[in-house]
Amino acid sequence: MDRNNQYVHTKIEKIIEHNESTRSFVLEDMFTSEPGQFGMVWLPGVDEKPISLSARNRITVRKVGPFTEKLFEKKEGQYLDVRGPYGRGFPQMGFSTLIGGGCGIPPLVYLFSKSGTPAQSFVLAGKNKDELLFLDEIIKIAEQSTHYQGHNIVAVTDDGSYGKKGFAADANIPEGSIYNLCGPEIMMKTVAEKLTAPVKEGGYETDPSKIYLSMERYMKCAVGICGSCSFSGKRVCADGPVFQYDEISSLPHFNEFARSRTGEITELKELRK
Amino acid sequence: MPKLDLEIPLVNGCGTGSYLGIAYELEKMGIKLGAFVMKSGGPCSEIANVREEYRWEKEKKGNPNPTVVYTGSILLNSMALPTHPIESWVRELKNSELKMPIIGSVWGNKPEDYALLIEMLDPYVDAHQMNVSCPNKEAGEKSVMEFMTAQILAAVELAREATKKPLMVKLSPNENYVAIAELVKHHADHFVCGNTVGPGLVIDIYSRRPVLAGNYGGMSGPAMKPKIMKMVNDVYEVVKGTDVGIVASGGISRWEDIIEYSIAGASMFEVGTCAFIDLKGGTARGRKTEEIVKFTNDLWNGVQKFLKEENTTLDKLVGSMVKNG
Repeated sequence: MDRNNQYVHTKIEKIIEHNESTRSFVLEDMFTSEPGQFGMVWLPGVDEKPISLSARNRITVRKVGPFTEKLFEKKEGQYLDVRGPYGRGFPQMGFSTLIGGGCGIPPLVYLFSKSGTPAQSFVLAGKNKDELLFLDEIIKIAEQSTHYQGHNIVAVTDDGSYGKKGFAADANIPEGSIYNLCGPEIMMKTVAEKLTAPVKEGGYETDPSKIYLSMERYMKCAVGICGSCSFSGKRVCADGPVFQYDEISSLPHFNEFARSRTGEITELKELRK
Repeated sequence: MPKLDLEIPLVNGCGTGSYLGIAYELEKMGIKLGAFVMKSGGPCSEIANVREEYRWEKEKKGNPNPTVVYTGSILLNSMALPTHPIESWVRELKNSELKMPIIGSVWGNKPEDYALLIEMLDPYVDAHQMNVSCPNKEAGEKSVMEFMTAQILAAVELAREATKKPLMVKLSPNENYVAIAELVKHHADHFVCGNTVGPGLVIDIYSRRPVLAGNYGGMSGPAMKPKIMKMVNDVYEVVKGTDVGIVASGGISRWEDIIEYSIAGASMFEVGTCAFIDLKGGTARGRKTEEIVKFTNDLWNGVQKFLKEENTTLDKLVGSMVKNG
């Protein structure tokens, strides 16, 4: 695979429309990566943003602003420029439980699809059935699994349009040797709290070091030098994006603060506006 | 004048690592760093008229992405000084749990900006770096950091009056640094040699656009070391025999580089690009915190070992180059 400076200049082989605001782009050429690592997609003259990989050669994107609007104008046969892979991905272990919420599902699908990781359970959460991205693909992977203990799939939706009605933490989460979480920070925090809570309070008493969370922050360099994506002292691009819960649960910025484009410490709820 | 005397004369390059939280993580993991240099604060304020004639903006956004590009041998960046209100920096510094000394850094649009910023940061830092040499601008931006030599002199003179703490002036390798060093050497305690080189240009052959959103970018990394080595040696010739110290900042990637810089005339050293980014194999990959600690500590341990083996000290090595001819 050739790189043009840092970028892989690659043709869009196929575009998959998951719902009104979410699409996947299957790419002809792509760097090798581990599930949970990320890439930076550059649209010349527009901007460059961190993007989730839902397979080695597939990125999955939700339309949230001007950059993703431009990205959604791209057609099959056109080209994208992607650099990466960056960061630390998810641990790949058998008997683990994957818990994904909405746009957090794609990196976990990549993980789920890896052969040789037996008996993973998958909890999908979303506002409605449309947000349970890759549901069919996940079921298919589970059905085709030759592993003796198989895979356990659980889905919950806010509106009850598929599976049990409720949030991720309300789901009947299958026990695992480790838990890999990806989704909104508040969702991951709530789930991690439930997993670590005492059994008598409905928790699982899981060792916090066995819970992995994929974090997201405003990103610039993606190579660990500029500090833009840091929360407290952790740099998402280089130390993460996947962190152990015990590494970050007590950091003041976790689920509270992020740095803005100018580097100012800002409340997360301010930035979401 | 008070020169900065650090237990270990090794610090991070300004704008790399950037924030105190990151320094705190590095410190917790045992990094051997003499001080932490904060990312440059600048003339931005929460107060509309911070002082009457100043009229600072609330913030300066800096460039959109891409802000870095790695060519396979040289890293270019064009952050273009994203700046939030200085009061916000003051709050961060006030809440700092860092044990190691902090070196403040400021940039300005005009000479007076520096003195006021330094005055505001002064209670919370151990020394000040004046960034008068950032080569990066936002695309189309006109007036940032295009100082005439006389303005740099004015900025340094005013800054000198604003603090009793060590004052470090970060020179540009892209300007006539010998003339500037000559002019301001009586007011500065250290010269930092230097800022990023260039700027340079990387064009994407498919879109025919510069890769960097800011078009051009300051160059850094090991390939820049000979350029900065000469700069250190040239500036050493200017300050030889005075109390002014030289801080070498350019492409340090091995302990041998620190020894080489000291022979050229430097007594303090900054690591940036190579400490934070692993550039092996033609690609750039961010180092994890523990890898930065190992990289930095290996540098310093290597220096110690060399000094012991050669039965010498860094002080003795400073400016010990024997020139040919």
